[in-house]
Amino acid sequence: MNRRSALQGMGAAMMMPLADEAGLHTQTTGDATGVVYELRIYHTHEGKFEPLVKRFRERETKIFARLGMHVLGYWTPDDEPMKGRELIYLLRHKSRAAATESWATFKSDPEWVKLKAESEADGAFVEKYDITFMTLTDFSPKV
Amino acid sequence: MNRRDMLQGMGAAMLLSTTRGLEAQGAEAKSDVVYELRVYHANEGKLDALLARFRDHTITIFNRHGMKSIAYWTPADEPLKGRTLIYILKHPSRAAATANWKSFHDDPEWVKVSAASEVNGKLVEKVDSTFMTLTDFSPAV
Repeated sequence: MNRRSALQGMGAAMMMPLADEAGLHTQTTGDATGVVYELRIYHTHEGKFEPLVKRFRERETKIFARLGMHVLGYWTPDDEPMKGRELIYLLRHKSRAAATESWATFKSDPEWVKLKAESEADGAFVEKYDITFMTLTDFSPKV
Repeated sequence: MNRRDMLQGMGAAMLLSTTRGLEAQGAEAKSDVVYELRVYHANEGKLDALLARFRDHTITIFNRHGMKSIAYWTPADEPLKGRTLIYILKHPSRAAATANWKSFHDDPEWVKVSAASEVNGKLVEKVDSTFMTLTDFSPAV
């Protein structure tokens, strides 16, 4: 091996850790699997928290299930000022594109359209939606 | 035993088992378990260091103090992307959460790791912590 190939060989070897870092980065951003998680926080209008929770319990959870939308958990905050005003839930989608498609299907679902119109005849339930799409970190437990 | 006593006895037995069943169910639904949603807003350029600290140390220390990590995420979109860590912990109760955080902060490894990781400045600008309870219709987490 001449000096030049030795240097080239070293160069290639030095590139390896960089390639690993790139791999790690891909994993960190979740691009490798495409799976995304969606954290949704619903801030309800005064007096609309109970009807919202009831609608989720009795109907909306079932529509999600029918449309193949996977919810990991539903929570309500324990402390003021969010207590009795907010619903927090977490979904998992196969990809960001799948999330967009699922929500479009959900919003035009006949059962949902009817349910929403009927349940909100006296006013909207939700004042503000905080929606955050996220990817699992490389060190996270699987969920 | 006459018929009347027997019927009364059956009624009481049925009532008893039903009541017990409901109580047991109620106690389960009213479990003390709490979840904690934490959102860390990292200082400029500090997210990678924050993630490394969680990956290499923080989770291990959490485990030692009864703090169960459900999952860790980073937001996919601006303006939170690249500067935020979001995670959920599960604690046996609210009182346990308070005690767990105290023992975590006092943990010698944490004291050392925390100081070493912040010699060039604090990693986290702000922490949003929300304690929450699973709804009665939620899947188990």
